[in-house]
Amino acid sequence: MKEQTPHQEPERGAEEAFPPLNRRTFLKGAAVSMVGLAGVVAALRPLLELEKGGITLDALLQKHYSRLKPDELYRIMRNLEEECERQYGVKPAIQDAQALDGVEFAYALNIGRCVGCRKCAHACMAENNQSRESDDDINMSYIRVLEMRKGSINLESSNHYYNPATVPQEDKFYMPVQCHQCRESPCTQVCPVKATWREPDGGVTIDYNWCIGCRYCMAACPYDARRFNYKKPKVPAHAVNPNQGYLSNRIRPKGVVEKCTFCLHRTREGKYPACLEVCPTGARVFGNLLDPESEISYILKNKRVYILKEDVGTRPRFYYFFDK
Amino acid sequence: MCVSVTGSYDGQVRGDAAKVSIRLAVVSALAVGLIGVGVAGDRAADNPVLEPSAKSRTVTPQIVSGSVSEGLALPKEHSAFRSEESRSVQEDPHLNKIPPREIRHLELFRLRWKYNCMECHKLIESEWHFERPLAEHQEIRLNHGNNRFCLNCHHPKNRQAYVDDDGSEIQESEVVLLCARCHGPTHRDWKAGVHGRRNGYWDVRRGERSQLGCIQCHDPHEPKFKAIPPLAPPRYPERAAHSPELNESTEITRNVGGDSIGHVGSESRGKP
Repeated sequence: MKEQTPHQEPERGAEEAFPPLNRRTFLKGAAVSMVGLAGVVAALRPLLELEKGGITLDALLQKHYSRLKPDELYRIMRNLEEECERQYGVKPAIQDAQALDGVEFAYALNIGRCVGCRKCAHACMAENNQSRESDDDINMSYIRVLEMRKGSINLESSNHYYNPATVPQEDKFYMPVQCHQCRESPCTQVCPVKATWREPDGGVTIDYNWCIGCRYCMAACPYDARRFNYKKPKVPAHAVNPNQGYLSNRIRPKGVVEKCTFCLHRTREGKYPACLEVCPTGARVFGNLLDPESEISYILKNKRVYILKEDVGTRPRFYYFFDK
Repeated sequence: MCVSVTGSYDGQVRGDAAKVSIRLAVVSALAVGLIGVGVAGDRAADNPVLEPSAKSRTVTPQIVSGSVSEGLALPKEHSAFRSEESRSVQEDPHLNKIPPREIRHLELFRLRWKYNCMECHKLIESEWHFERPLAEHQEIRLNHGNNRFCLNCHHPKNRQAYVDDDGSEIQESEVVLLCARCHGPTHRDWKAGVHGRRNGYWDVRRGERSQLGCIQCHDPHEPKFKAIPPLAPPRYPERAAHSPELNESTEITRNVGGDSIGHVGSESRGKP
């Protein structure tokens, strides 16, 4: 017969409240602590770099570009210049040109004229201080020239590693692709920290000091326009372009995304982008879309113009056109 | 010049005369010297032997901004010694902005002696066919499509100029109008800045932009562009899913003894 009263919690002795420390529990606890400790150390890594001097407290606690006051930005740019000189041997001049009123950039490329020489891709490397393994390395170039089979626009059968003896090849045509600075850019929508945004004059820009390197924007871009610095950028001193812009071509740190900015540091001064200046056939046209006298307005009015991946709805600012 | 205070009047007059005559002599010597230098300078300009070599002669570009009918912009060759050139072409030493073609001007250079086309063509009757009986101009092969006659472009009476539809002359400074006779839509595009390349500033309020003329890219006797070797391709990813042979037109796997992606050895293709 049960003498016990309806269910009562038996008194818990000390042994049940605190289970004895046997080997199994010890190892479990130790493993969990190790993992926790590793997590804490990883989270505190920026502080370790701070101790070593790899990053300054200012830079660590820097605000988003849109919240920086002019004197703060000035100080940041001067610090960046000094750091560039320390790390790469060249003291650049970093400036921050603002968007002008009444200016909206657009770019057009004449498919009939491009011969696939890749001068634009190499000029992009010369202008924008991307990381490179050798002087000829264009893997980080923002421009990728696709060799397409004539007859249709089939991106899947395109090839950008082409290297024949001469170009253009008879049965191919060439289509360089770079960031289209889309009006409905998917990359700016998905950035979790808003490190990339659309500027009023059309360019999509990145605050490299705010980017956390998650690469979500790279997944979102339909044109594969963005490049990531998987390691510290390697730029030899003779290849550094000292005319730099804060939002465009300054040398990036490790772990941030970069992309074509239509050479903001040049175009906001009123110059042409580097890729246009070197094209031997004059296939590229750039200008202010809001100016009815500009070349780009002429093209949109008079030529057969198309855009890539229209069905995705990005409404890009980069147009391709034919003459005939 | 010290004149003795106690000198006589005569001595003073003679001293004054001496001063004046010495000064006159110095001034006239200077004048003769300057004139002599000037003459010598002229002679140097005329004598082509003293001039720098014709091939590297550079031309001050006329910058075209706004109306392109003002003239051609002829960018200088890419050299370290540029002087009065547009700011835009002078900046950016890291960018290769060389126009595709160097123009040979109308002045012919033979044994470094500059002469005028009309010096020969005054004496020689113009012919419509282009089997040139004489030795001159044999290196020019006219390969301009349907345009098969020299005198379609060159003026029959004045070889320093070109010919218009009604027989009038088109001067060299306006040679784009010659091409516009047949290539009207292209000329229209060129005037709008869409055909051919512009350099410099898209914002003409802030700087100048230059434009290339027709013959700076197109050889007028053989206008179709020759195929050129492309610059280096991107490196093929080392851990790609498939080997480069599947890219049909790439020749990076066909190079023996090392290819553009750094694989050394003829048979190691696509191997990471």
